Amino acid sequence: MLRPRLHEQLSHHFGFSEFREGQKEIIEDVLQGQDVLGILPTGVGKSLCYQLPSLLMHGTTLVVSPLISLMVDQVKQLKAKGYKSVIALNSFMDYRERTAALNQLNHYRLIYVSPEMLQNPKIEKTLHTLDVSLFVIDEAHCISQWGHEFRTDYLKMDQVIEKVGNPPVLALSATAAPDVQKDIKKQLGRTNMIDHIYPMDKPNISFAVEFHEHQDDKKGRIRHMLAAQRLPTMIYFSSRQSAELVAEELNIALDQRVAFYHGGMEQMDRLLVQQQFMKDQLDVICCTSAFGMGVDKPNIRRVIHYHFPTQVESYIQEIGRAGRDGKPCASIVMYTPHDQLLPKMLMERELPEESAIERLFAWLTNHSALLSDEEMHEQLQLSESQWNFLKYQLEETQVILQSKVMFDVELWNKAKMHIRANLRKRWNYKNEKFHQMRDWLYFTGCRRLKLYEPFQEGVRNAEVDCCDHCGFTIDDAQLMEEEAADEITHNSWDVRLKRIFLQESINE
Amino acid sequence: MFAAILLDCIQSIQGERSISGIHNLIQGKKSSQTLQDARLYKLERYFGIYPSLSKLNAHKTAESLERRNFIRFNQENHPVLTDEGEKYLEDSFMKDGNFFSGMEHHRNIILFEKRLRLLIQTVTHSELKDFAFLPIVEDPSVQAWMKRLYRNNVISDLLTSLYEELNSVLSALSHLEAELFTRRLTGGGLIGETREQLAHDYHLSVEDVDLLIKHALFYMYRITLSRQENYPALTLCLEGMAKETLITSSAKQTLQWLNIGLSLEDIVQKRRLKLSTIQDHVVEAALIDPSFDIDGFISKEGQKDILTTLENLNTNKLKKLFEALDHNYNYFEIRLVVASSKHTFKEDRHAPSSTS
Ligand SMILES: Nc1ncnc2c1ncn2[C@@H]1O[C@H](COP(=O)(O)OP(=O)(O)OP(=O)(O)O)[C@@H](O)[C@H]1O
Ligand SMILES: [Mg+2]
Ligand SMILES: [Zn+2]
Repeated sequence: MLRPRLHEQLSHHFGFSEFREGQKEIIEDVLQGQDVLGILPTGVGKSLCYQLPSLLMHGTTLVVSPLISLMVDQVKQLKAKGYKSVIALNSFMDYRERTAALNQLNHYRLIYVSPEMLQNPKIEKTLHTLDVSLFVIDEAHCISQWGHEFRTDYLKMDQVIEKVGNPPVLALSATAAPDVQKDIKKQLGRTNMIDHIYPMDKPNISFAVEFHEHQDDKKGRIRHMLAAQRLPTMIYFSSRQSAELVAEELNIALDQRVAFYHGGMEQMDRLLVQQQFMKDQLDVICCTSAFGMGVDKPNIRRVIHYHFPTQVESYIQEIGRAGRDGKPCASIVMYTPHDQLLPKMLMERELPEESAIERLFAWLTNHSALLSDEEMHEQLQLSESQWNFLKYQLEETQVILQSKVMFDVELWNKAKMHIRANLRKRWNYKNEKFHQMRDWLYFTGCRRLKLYEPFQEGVRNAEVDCCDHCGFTIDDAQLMEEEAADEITHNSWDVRLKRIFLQESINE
Repeated sequence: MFAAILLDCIQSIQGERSISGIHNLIQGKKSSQTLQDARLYKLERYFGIYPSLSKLNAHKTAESLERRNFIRFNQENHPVLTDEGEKYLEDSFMKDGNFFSGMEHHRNIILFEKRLRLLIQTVTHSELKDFAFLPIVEDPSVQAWMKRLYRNNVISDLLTSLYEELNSVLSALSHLEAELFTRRLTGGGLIGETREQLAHDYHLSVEDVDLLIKHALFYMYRITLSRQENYPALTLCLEGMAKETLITSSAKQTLQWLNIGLSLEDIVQKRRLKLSTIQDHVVEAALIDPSFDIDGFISKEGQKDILTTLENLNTNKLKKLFEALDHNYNYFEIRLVVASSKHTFKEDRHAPSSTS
């Protein structure tokens, strides 16, 4: 009954003629007011699963999204397409903008917000007054992946849902193994969500892992690979400095446009790099994980990992940027034995050591209330995420109530034990994830089968050479001849000015 | 360019301020001290021209100047120009005209730049009938300004005039400035380049890229301001720009109390601030407002005394003045007189000419 109308709406609002696999099924259940867990592969169009309903339902659709850049991007794209009543509440807004936005929040149909923003009392109060008809959690695996440490506000999502009147919930992800699926439902307080789980393997991608001795070997290899075939390529790094450094080296060595992208760049430059890449004015982008999630460029042919990520979920996310047009693409992971240390260091920066618990309680003995987060980092020598973890634990064990220290020996002893146990659990979890990733790198069978094994049973047949085990080599890969991108010509400023102002065709 | 600006500042300050002090000035720190320095050393033109300059980069550049023997550091660790530095400065860009006027215009320039970038993008994309571009400027107030122009049909036949005006203005600038400015522009389907990309392509530091583009903007802004009839398209970007009021909001509050007759001590009580802070506010007002009356704080004779010594010694160093005046006046009184004396000198405020 709904079907013909939904199709009409799809083409009317988005100009698409067909739903992709899973979209219609999810949207129908959402419109029926069901709680839904949707797992669809990267690039299929999860956003549509709430964007279309938001246009068809009476009230507001609230979307919780982990990355500000991702939200801002989606809003800009929607606006550019003519969907006007959409806004992203984010911490970049200054006081005036935010107040203005909050004052007319009920005019928006689609509101993007970060989990941290949801805890802001002012915003919370305003959200109260809205008629929320759908609560969406995009990239829902973040609840499990990040929630337990540095994004602890993800763990309070169930309370928020209750406060906005218990609307139907839609959780979306491309990378959630069965245990994570269970965790998502539990954290959201909706254990009876309807599953819409589709295979998440990408039949159009080939896999290869290369083992090298030194960093320099990796660089040489990348130079060689890029020079051999000029194709839209992403290279992932785990540090900003190495992304910048390698970008500079490649720029010097190659006759291609290479740029870096990371979270420490000025806002306009970030936008420029992203846009250059989108418009094929850039061949290669050297980036950290700040670039990625949600990036929707159709023709990325190669995703190279200069450093490998700390878990398989992140890896699947990141290679999800490639081949969104459905055409052949490849993932190449470069590995040196030394690289093992990096993820370890990243993990240590995220989770506190056990000794921090004693330090913390010694500090609490001498204080009656917590200081600001910055001061706590400083006094206890903890990173932001380490402190977030401990703070959440203190609140949960009620050693801290509204920032006040509750002194009670028995309570404290219990709390210490509880925190220590939780900490161990998280360490084990992270180590497991890390080993899972590393095992995949060392795996000698079919990489495709192995990669998706934790998530689903079996994989579809690859449409391309499957992996280095099954006979794929990047040097022989048919990654499709792109129409050669614009040659790099450096015209003098007056010529460029003419081009910008479209004066050539008129005058010449 | 960054090196030349630093050297220019160091020359004027003559070893009386540290690199941090110079950084504050260029970065545009809104403190009484910094505003006073800008006036005292006649460095108003550089005030606030580079808000995102980091302390670290200022120090790094100073170190490289020291290595190149352009500056040395005196006993107080303040930089002083060497003969070589003097020569370098002489040969630098300053000769072809220096259009910075930071104190007067730095905040307007920021707005001018945002408007200009968005205007160019909007005008050229409208011509392409592409209305789904992502705006390069995110500032909502600038976007609202653009929408207003658009709705009032102002931009419909702006393409050619905006092109011609930019072409003429850029021709008057150095080739390098015109290159950098144009390559950073987004519009007509071309995406602008990042500062790092430009730095790499032209073998410059990122600071130089930023400052060269900034300088081009100052020139554009000022020439438009002075000849609005010749630059109707660029003039759109000046809409409603107020004269800058540089006085800090805290100083403003102090002045309000003063105006209704409270004494400095009363204000200290009221605002729970230190006396020295309140005194800073008074000096700041004296610096910025030519009509500010200092007679209530120091006698006419005292003012004359201090002024004479100031002229004789030809230094802005308070300690020297304090000693030369036999400790008869306190630092506050001396600073106040020095500050208000600055208004007797006229600043150079030539409008730029298009031939330079
Ligand atoms: N039914 C459809 N027909 C054609 N194109 C579609 C359809 N649905 C979505 N798309 C397009 O597919 C692209 C990817 O969509 P989207 O960004 O929502 O993917 P995603 O599943 O959220 O991916 P990721 O996991 O990477 O975030 C977009 O460009 C979108 O416009
Ligand atoms: Mg998505
Ligand atoms: Zn295989």
